[in-house]
Amino acid sequence: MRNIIHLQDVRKAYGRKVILDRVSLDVPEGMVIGLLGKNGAGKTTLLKCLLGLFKVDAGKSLVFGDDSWHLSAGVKASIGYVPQGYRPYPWLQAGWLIEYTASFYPQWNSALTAKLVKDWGLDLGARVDTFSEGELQKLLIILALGHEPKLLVFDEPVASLDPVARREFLKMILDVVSERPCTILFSTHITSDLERVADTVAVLRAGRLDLCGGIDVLKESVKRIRFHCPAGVLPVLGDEGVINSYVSGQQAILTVRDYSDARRVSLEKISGARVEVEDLNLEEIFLEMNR
Amino acid sequence: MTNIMGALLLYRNRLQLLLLAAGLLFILPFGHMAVRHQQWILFEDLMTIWFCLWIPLAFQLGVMIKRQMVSPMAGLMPGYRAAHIVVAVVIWVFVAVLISLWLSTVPCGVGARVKSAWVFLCLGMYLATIVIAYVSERRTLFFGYGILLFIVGHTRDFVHLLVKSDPAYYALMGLAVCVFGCFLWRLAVLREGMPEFGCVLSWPLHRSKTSAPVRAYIPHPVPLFAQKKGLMRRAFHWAHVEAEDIPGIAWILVLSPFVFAAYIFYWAGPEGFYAHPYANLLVLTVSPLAVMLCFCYRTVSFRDYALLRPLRRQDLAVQWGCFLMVILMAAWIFTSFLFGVLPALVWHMRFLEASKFWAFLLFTGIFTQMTLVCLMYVASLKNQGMAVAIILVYGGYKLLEALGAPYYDLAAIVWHLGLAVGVCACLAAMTYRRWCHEEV
Repeated sequence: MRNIIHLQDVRKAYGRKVILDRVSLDVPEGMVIGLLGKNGAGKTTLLKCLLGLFKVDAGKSLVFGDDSWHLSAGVKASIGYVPQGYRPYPWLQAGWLIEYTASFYPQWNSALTAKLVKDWGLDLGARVDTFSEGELQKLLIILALGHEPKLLVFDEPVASLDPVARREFLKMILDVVSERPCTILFSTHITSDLERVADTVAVLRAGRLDLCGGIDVLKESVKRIRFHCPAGVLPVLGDEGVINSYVSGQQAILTVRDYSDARRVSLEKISGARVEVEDLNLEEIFLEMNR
Repeated sequence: MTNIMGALLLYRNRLQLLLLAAGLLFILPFGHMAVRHQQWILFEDLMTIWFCLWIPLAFQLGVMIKRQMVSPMAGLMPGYRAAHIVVAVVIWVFVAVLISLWLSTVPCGVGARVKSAWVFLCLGMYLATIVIAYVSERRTLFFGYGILLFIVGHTRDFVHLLVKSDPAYYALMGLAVCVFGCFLWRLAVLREGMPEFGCVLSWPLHRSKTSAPVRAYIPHPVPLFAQKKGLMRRAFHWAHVEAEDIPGIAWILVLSPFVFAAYIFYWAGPEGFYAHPYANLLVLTVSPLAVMLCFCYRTVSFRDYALLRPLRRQDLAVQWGCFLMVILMAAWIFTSFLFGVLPALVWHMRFLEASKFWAFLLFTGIFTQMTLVCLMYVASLKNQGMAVAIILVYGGYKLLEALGAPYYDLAAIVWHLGLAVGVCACLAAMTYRRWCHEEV
């Protein structure tokens, strides 16, 4: 399967502040990938570099084989993007905004946009500046879907949506993927949504891609290990694969990546303590990484 | 619908643009009638109104195309930039070139030529608004305005320059076209990562939303703003924040001496200060107003924060009014000294002893305050009062000019002062009431 997105050692800095540091990522066709990271981790910058809105300082960024900074019209027509905090032409009516956007895409699917407008209860006669944040987000999503792109990029798409709209959005993503081959990349803070729809998660921390892989693989790989030490002293186990460690009462707690049963046995042997292994959900993994 | 029609749609739905364009087109048939009946004075006045409408229209068009190009979609929608640029050029060609050509066919020679040259000057301002991305819009507005006021006030010389010299006239037009071409080229390649992107829409709220690279360097002013206690200290806080805009300051330093030198050069000429009272009125009233507006812009932008202070709304409204008045008076004193007293000290010391000189300066101060109150009232009616305010201000000047206001007659000055103070008091009271009930 060919890669729709190819990032290789991408670096981006604003002055002396490094935002992205040697980020590499390959996204094959049809994958739904969630980009996870706390505020300031570089998620938006990564998406903008990918789409050619920012120029990378170093490294390679390709979309459909085109260099991101020089995307061809054909590749642009295959991309749908919902930026964060974007409020397009506030004086336009929503219906006119859809017409306006449609005029740039020959393959615009009016039936799809009409259906989404109806499902989400948007008033096409209302001006954009009268829309709430949630309504605006829905409108932007519709605009991004109208030309049936092969790559959808969402920057915090559900942050402003109510729970019902969030569910509908996630269902829409699943529908889109099931109906036609479409690659989806979205950044979010909401890990439960990510678990619901994404195949793969990429975790950005301080501009670096800390973890990347299938969600199930990630859950299998990252575990929390409790050492029951009577003295409450953390055993010396080395830093390899350790995401986080702390002492709580008479327990020493380690969160590790690349967990395996063999490693558990080895840890028990080294520490001499009773060891318990806990599964973590995605949110817990994310919290552990950013603790 | 084609993408060009789509881009055109953005203009069709922009009410301010439509109103201004309608105003421009509405005046043309009257101008034509005036020419046919050889009513040259009426024609000149109509063209002046036309010119006054063109300023805000040019400014709005400039801001419009800039907004289109800083949209993240500009880099992602196929054919976006080309379509929007084509539409901008079409509008420019239609409004500027065709109407200017029509003006140049009017058989009154001098007036028409000059007015069409004005159009190109306005176009120059429009371009300056958008081309020179390193200068904030409001600074460009201020400087463009100052320069235009200077030229408008010295029309006769300008007329002579252009009539005597065809090359000068066509050079002016050619320059405008060249700059416009450069501007289009910059817009066609503008991306968010570029250094000028952050300043393209440099009003603070826009900048904070549109420019990540610049945002990384400029600390957000609001948290600091909240720490300041008094209204005046808050106002000066914005001045301090503005001072971080190094390219903008450099621009001021480059431009200011030229404007001042040009003014002084003319002022020191044979006709002197009293030869063009209308021009001096413009310079001494609109310039301080522009300075004040530039200075207070950010403060006004964050009025809602001020409303959260533990203070009655009525008291806050009074504070706001007084603050704006004080800043305006300071700006008026500054410009009066710069453009009135200082040149007199250097070239015409005898003017300093003439009571009319000081009366005239006083008159401009009162008139400035009156204009401010008008502006505040218009702004309280609707937040988008800039275009209306500019028209009102120009309308006021035009009215004074039409009435032939005798600025040197002390009795007339006293009468006008009384009238201005009365109007000020009424408008201030109305504005105060509106502020007390304003939703922010």
